[in-house]
Amino acid sequence: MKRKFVVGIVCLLAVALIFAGCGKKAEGPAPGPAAPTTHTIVGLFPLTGVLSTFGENSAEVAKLAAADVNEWLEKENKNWRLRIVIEDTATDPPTGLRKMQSWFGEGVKFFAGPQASGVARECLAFANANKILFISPSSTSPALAIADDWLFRFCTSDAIQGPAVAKMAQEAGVEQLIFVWRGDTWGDGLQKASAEAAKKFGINIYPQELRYDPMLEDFTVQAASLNGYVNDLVSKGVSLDKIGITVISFEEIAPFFTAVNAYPQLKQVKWFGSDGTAMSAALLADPIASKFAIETKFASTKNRPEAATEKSRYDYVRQHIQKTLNRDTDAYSYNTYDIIWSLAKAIDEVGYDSEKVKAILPRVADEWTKVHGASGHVVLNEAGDRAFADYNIWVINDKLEWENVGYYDSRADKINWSRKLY
Amino acid sequence: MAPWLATGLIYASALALTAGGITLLYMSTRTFNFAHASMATLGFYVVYSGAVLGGGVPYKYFPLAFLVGGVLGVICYYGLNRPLLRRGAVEITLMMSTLGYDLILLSVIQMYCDYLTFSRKLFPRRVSMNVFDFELFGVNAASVILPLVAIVFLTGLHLFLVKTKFGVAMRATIENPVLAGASGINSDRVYMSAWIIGGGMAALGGAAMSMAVTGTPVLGMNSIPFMFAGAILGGLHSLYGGILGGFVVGLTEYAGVFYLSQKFGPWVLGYRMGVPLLLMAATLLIFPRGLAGIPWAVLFGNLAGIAGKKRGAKA
Repeated sequence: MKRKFVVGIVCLLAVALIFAGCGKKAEGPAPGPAAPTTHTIVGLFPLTGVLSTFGENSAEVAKLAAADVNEWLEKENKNWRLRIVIEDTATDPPTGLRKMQSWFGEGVKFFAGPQASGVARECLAFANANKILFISPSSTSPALAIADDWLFRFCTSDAIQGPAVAKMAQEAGVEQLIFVWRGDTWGDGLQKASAEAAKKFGINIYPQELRYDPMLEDFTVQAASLNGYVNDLVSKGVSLDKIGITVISFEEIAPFFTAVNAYPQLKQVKWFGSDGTAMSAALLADPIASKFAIETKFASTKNRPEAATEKSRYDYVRQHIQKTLNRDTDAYSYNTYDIIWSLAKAIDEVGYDSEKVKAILPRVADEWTKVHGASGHVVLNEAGDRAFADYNIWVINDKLEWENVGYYDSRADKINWSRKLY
Repeated sequence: MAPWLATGLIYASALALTAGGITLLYMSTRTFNFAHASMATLGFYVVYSGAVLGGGVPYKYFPLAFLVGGVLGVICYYGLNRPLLRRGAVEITLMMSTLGYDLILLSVIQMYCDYLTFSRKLFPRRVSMNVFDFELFGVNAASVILPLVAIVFLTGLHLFLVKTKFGVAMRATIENPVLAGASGINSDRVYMSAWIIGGGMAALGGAAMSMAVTGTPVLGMNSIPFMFAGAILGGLHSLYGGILGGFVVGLTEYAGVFYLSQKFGPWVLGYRMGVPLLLMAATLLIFPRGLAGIPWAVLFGNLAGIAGKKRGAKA
């Protein structure tokens, strides 16, 4: 009896809710001026996984950019508003694709991100087939430099970063270089570009290479193997200061350094990183790993934002992240700010039409970033990637802060040091 | 002790605890508990939060992690498992219900990580618990303490099951619930206790595991195949088999893979996660009832006999 009563009440409530929903349109205020249309951009960022601190930075910056865009739209009396939705790709290609498919089903045609090349590659075929425009702030794999596809990248390809990483090894006097890298689209591309450049600089590449599973979270066995390789080189008469190790990784660099820290001789060789490790907040937060990085002068490269113009949003973005997340943001998050603004400006000009936006995006990005660009002036090449960039060189200093000690000038193929490391 | 062996011992101890918990829950309630993954992760976050907010060594928060795991087990039992068991749910339904519970727990973990990130300005999504550890006998304390914790805990569990009245009742219910019920044993209390112990073992195992691998919100999810591999290798019908299975799988992942990489080259490292699973498959092909199905007494008896004959021949 009691059960029937409860079921009856539930049915009544359900019917009441259905009717309440049906009556919704008939109620409300009398018709007034048309409410602004809302256009959606989805931010595909890695809030979890091995790029999570970079993802958090970009997500916060995207929200900031969207708020600024809406303020501008309101001031200009435009009849549309921007809605930004942040989705977590978990730095996982299938997850990133699933999120894109799901939002495309909701009618979304514009995406900021994903950040990792592996995730971007996973999304590419679906985006090309459905004319979805997506712009990555940080996918740098040379394999994704494809003309006339639907992926734009506000960062340069690793065809430029590879020589920058190798140049550091050359300046450090390295004769034998060992590579350790994550086995994904980004890691494979950058390793290949760096190794080719290193060979041109006359550096020998150690034949045993450590390509590891991107899902790996513990590097004890890799550290033991690496120590074995260094032993092998030493036994062949190579002194420790002539041996270099290039680690191409994301934030798993912290557990990696914790593992190699157990082998004292590995502190005496030269260590190099890339944009996956430069400015990593996770590395700073790990006392053992950051101490290892300081002791070995672990040097990493990252896109160098161009000289700030008077109206550049660089400082504005930087201060916002310091306030909200209490950390220095990474170079790619400035690209995210410019991506949201460039998309918004293009949508404002031609409407929420991905084909029309794609056609004018290079010009709009050029015009907007020339004056306001947080990451500097964005000029896109025929593949839709940022055409030029130099690379800052970052190390962790004794105050446990990331310090810019110089930059690689890609056009002159040389490093300009502000503090000589080697 | 070589660093890879030290880490391997920690990891193997953690897998022994978690695989033992999975086996206990399967034996008692026929449930493959997929929520073991997030229970383990929550165990890690209890210890991490204690160490970073409360201070001190992480080990002092291990009992708290066990308690939290036990509470999660009780919630799972009363919220999902018991109602389904009463409706005569089949094993697949019981298993899928725990998968749902796991997803809820995973969401809770993510929310908690957001709280730590934005309110406490911490980095909870990539944690190296080594930084809270100290040195003991020239190695990380974890590589000495955690195998000991596992041994002490599992010995205590053995004594509980063998020497106490409730433990004997528990074993009786697990082996024959109908007969145990007819003898006046309250099976409901027994199942609830199994979930407390099983959940506690998951959380304790997760806390231990974070001393070997990077602590992330998917710590448990990434290692759940190995927890199950350990339980299956153990034979699923023996608690001790499950514990041994977990330990063997864990140690193989480190020591076995390291040995193979030295022998055949670094390409083996790419198959690190496949090697223990291969071992499990090979063992089950030879001994379908897993490690618990191996006639150890006969095996050791034969070995002792052979050794005795050799000694006799020498004399």
